[in-house]
Amino acid sequence: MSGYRLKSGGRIDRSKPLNFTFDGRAMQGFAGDTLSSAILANGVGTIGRSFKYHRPRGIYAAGIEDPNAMLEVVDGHGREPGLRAGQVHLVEGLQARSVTGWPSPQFDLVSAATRLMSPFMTAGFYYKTLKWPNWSWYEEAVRKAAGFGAPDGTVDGRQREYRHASCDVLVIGAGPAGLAAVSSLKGSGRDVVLVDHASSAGGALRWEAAQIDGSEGMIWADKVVADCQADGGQVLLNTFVTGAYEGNYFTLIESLVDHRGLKAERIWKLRAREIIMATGAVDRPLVYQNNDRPGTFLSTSVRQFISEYGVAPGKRLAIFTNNDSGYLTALQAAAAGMATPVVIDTRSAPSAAHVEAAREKGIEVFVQSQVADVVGGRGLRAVRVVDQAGKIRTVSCDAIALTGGATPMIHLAAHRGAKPIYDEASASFVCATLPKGWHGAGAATGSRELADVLAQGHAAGQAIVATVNSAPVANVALGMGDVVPMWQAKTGSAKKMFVDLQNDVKASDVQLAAQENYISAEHLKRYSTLGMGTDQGRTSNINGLAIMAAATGREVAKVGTTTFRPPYTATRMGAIAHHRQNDGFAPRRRMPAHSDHASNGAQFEDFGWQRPDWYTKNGSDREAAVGIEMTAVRTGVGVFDASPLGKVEVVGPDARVFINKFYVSNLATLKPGRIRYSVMCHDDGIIFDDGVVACVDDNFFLAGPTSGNAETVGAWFERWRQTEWPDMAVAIAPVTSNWAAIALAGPKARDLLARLSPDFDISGEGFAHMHFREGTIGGVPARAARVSFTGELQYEIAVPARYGQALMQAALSEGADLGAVPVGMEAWLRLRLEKGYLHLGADTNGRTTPLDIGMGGVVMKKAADFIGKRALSLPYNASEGREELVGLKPVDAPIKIGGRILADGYAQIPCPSIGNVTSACDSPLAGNIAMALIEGGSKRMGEKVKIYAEGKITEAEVCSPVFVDPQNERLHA
Amino acid sequence: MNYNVFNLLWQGLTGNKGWQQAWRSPEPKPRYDAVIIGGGGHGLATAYYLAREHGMTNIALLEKGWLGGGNTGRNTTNVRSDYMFPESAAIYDLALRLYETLGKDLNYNIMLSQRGWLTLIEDQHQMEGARHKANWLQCNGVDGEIIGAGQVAEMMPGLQMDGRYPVRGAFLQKRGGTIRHDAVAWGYARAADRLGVDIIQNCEVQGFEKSGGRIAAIQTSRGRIETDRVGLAVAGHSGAMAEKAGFRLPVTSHCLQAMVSEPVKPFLDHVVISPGTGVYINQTQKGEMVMGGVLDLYHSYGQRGNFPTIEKVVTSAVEMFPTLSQTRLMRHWAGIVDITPDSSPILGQTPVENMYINCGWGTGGFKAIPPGGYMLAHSIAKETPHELAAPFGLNRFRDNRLVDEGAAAGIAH
Amino acid sequence: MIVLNCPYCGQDRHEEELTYGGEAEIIRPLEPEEASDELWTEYLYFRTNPKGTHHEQWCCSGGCGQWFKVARDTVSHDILEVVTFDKRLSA
Repeated sequence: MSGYRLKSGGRIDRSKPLNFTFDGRAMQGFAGDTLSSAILANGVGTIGRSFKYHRPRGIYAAGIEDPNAMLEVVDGHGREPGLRAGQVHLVEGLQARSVTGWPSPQFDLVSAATRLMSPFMTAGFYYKTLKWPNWSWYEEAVRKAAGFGAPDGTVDGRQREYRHASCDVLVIGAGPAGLAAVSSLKGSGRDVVLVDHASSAGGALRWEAAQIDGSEGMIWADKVVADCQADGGQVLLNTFVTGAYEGNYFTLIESLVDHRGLKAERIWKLRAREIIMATGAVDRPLVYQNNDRPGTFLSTSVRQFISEYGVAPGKRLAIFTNNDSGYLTALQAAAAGMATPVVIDTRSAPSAAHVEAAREKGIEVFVQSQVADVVGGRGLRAVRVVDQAGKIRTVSCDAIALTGGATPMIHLAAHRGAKPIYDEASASFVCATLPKGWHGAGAATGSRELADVLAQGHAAGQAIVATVNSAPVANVALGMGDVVPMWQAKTGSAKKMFVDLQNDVKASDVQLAAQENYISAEHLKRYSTLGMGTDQGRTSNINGLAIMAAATGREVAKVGTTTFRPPYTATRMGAIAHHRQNDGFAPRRRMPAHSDHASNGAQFEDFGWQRPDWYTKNGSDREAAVGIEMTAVRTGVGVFDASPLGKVEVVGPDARVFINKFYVSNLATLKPGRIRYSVMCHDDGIIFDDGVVACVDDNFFLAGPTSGNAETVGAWFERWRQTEWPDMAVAIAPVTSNWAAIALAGPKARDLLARLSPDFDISGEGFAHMHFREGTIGGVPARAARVSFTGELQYEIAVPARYGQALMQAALSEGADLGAVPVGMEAWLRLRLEKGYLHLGADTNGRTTPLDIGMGGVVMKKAADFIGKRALSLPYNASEGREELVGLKPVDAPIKIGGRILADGYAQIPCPSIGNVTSACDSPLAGNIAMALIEGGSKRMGEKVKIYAEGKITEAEVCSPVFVDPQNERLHA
Repeated sequence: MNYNVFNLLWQGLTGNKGWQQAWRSPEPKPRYDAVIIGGGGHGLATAYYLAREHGMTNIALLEKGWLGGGNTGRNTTNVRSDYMFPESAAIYDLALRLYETLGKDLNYNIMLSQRGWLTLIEDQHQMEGARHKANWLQCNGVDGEIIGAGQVAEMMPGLQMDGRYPVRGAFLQKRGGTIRHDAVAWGYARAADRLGVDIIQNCEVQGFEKSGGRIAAIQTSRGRIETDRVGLAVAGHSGAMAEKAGFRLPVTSHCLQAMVSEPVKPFLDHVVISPGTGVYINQTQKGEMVMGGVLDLYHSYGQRGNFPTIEKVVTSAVEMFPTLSQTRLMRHWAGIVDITPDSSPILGQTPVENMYINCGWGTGGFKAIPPGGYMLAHSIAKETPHELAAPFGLNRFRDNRLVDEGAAAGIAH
Repeated sequence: MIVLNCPYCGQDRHEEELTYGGEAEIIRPLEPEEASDELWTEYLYFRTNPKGTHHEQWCCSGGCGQWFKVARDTVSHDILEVVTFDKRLSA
């Protein structure tokens, strides 16, 4: 075949030639070309090789429905590993490459080998073999054969944008049906968004010769669009509606193209009240022997190439049709000055008008005829035509246009669950009922004549709102007429009749699936891979289903279709992700004093907040620094940023009763100014948070959940308040980030606090352990709690967040001569391990109850109900031998975190295990220490246990978890 | 006819006319010794093991649509057995061991690809969790190891190591990987059919006739079928079917979404999950990137996707592999999964005397198909649960003896 | 994409602005200590799971923060009724 640029015609700008390359060959096209039309105009035949049999394939269609035209494209903004050539706007300097065939699609070395293999590589081939010795022997070779292009790490320069929008009426498709609807809504006051994937409105009017309301079709189209915009409507071109979701929520991808290529993609999330589905149809090919040769095209695409791009797909065209639209293609080819074409019509009685119009132009028409085979391997040279009597004649041509009827683009309605029904008149699947608020119009509903299409579009608009506008009137005599199905040519070998060109599925594969009883539409698809390619079966599914119907003696309607799934056409993942990468993926939460931590050499870790794990200022490596930080707390004073610690205010006359329902400990007796530590459960009795609660006054409690649960606990309180105890007079205010907090810990903590100018008594007696004070510090409102996570004398000082940085700076500078150092998370967690305080989520898991951590006595003492109480007496929660939290001391080697405690009597793995090391560290004071959850742990004090960790088994002794200051002397200092 | 190279060659040379039906399409008989409801992987495996292990061949499997049309045909095809609780480990490791020989056992290539399953480790807490998990798995006799960041980078050159969630290493189970999901359903179906099981598609169960606490007969869209024993394997619809039989299950149905990109050249040779982003990815033999994430949180029987989840999963995939921004999302879909309070299955006896159940696998049903079928077959044949199934009985919820792997692991499973 | 009109603040909220809370009208036994193990575990773990109309709790978490009740079809996801938390659903 040899496509070429016609001398005239098309909507391209011949004054703007554009240079591009295809597989390294320099070529020229014009502004307004797509990559498909430009490649075709340069006479390129083979653009790639097929997936399974490595057969040569050429451009097949003008749009995204082309199953062959997947190419790698590099434009001025970036690279795309696999794009449909029909959707690529040609720009200067564009480079396109084949992604199939080796070393090139023209001279493919694999094809000879696969040709020999082809009889064996039927549907289901892989399921029947390659099992011995096992699949992995073959897998790599199979994998290498697949795929278009490769993501290569090239950072693309395309901009990404997103928009949220809503409208009254979303009109999908700016073809005659959609435009008729828009024109019907003119002046209605409805907020209209009109969308089309092409770069200009008009749809089929871009290539069909039609007059509407007395003017040229495209002039009418431009006027409707201009009126719509003048009316306040929005027109989105180069935009695909990719998905339709519940609540009439749509996703759209808009391409923004400049002279260098695809500059940006914009994803729209649009909600509409009413929808006009005017999405059109694509040609369905006909299935005959060697119907995949380069030079084979969809018939409508040929009209589009000629009229829109001024490209002739070949010197002489044959048209193979089962409906009247094939004649339109023949007439356009003749009118464009191509060699006189020939029409091969399967029908016995084509429309007289069409035949007459064709014959007037000298076009030869074969009726009741089919294509039996083609001549030419890499390029079409002729077709063999067989007539009703079986007589075969050879008709020379270098391109063939196919139409077996139209396939309505019902995808979007089907995304919403509208059921496709087989419509005999159009021999296609349409949606009999549409989702609520949807109105169908045009070829998408199976319409085949322009007059009907316009009337439907107008009616759809009127159904939304009645206006005085009249329906557009078309002046065309020729249309598509009746479609007489021909699902598979009667002559020729089914083994060479291709149904799905991209996946190399042949009529014989469909028949084999039928023979092997893979007869449901889904089994056919999955067994043969029919319709599973990047085109998602746009041109192949219906033919395949019909051949299956014939093979199983069923009607097409009975076979049904597979499920349509979004997106309508493949969407670049970068467009969906847009700017949400790295910090945009999940913003980092920073504490008010973040920059001070950074200048102190903080090594940040993400604990929901960016928190210093350790400070390089305190040592050159982590272990050394952590040791210094721990020692500072034990001997001087450490300053720890506790800002993320949860703060939830519970206020009101019922505050005490309310909060008492959540904590395991009895808060009914907690006096104003006092603090109590406790844990909180879900109603299944499992611990989900721990922390201290302060009674500010009788009507005001301040809960301090863990930083990780700060939001959750606030929401948890609020939910119970609203849904279970709505009559309680209590209000909940989560104020965690309103307050910044620092903890001062160590024997010199009181000295340091004094230097920060508190306006309240901080003496040992005046401000004892587990007490709470409100006042000012350095003249700033402050909440101070004397609580300890480290076992040392410790104060937690909270000030309004805007003073947080100043407070941190003041503490460190005022404390310099006291040896104050900033302390990170790691030292903080080790200090609490020395003291035997549990770390929620490390020393507890999703099965730990208060009874398992030694709070049984506290639970027993509390008479009132609390959330989780009842579950503690369920059989398993109350059973013996549960995992309990204990301390561990090494016997022979340091204990490693995550080690498994082996069941009694076992000394090698695999074996049963009875618990795990939940925390472990080297302590400057106590040496190697650990905590563990061990079955029956509280009864094992003094026992030796074996621990498996990282390939080694070591021994440890069960002990109390309090390793430092068991008498609480430091705490109460 | 056996599937082997000889037959493939011979059939290829003689026009492929001799291939038989993979399974018959029989009319239902009025009575069977046992009836299995549900023609997904678990139901088909049950039929196969009932016939093969227990010699019960007068049995029928009823499927309301087409075989493998539920979650078996909608999952992301991943298999692994890195479970920590010994009772879970026993089941999932049996699964992997059965899968390892299933292609040969069934004479059907299920394309088991043990390409390695990596759970990324992105912070200190996860590292500690991973250490515990590796130690526990090794105690249970299951493989699993921690690898360093360098090795992760080498294994997956496209992975972003220092993104929002910096990669510190990974938990690797080398035996984990992927399987061609449809092949599992079809392979079991063909093998069960060859042992005489009647596989009846397009047959919807409409109700049960009970007598004295037992099911006497099943009313179906294709007539009444009497039977002595009933096995239920209808993930997603377990609650609805239990209701028909007159009992309640602690199961809710949720939508789990999955999606694929267009095929690209081999890019990712392993299955990888990132706890930070919550997304898992692998690349199929055809080159598509298969991606999945977390459940949609509300109850749903709508087997369709929803954009907020798509957005999260795709965005996460690009965060993990930035060059995937060049790759195109081709198709997204959803299945309905049974969620139990502890995300572990419910196996064995139901309150109806001669009805046995296999449900509640949550998001992990595909990887458990072989033992799921094996244990349900055991329950039906022996009228008592298999010892591995015993910890997963319905009564565990009354005792609060939950098997909550997620709670122990701190991640989805 | 689920969209609910919050009965408290009157705004349309889509699912990313909402929090789902499971079945509505769950009864926590008023006297927990009196409840049998069976009743308590029924309350903890057993939920109705209808294929069709489901009564459920949602929170306007991205808006006014109030919990309310919704009747929703679990197949089509159509919203049948929305009421404030103190009311009973009739759909």
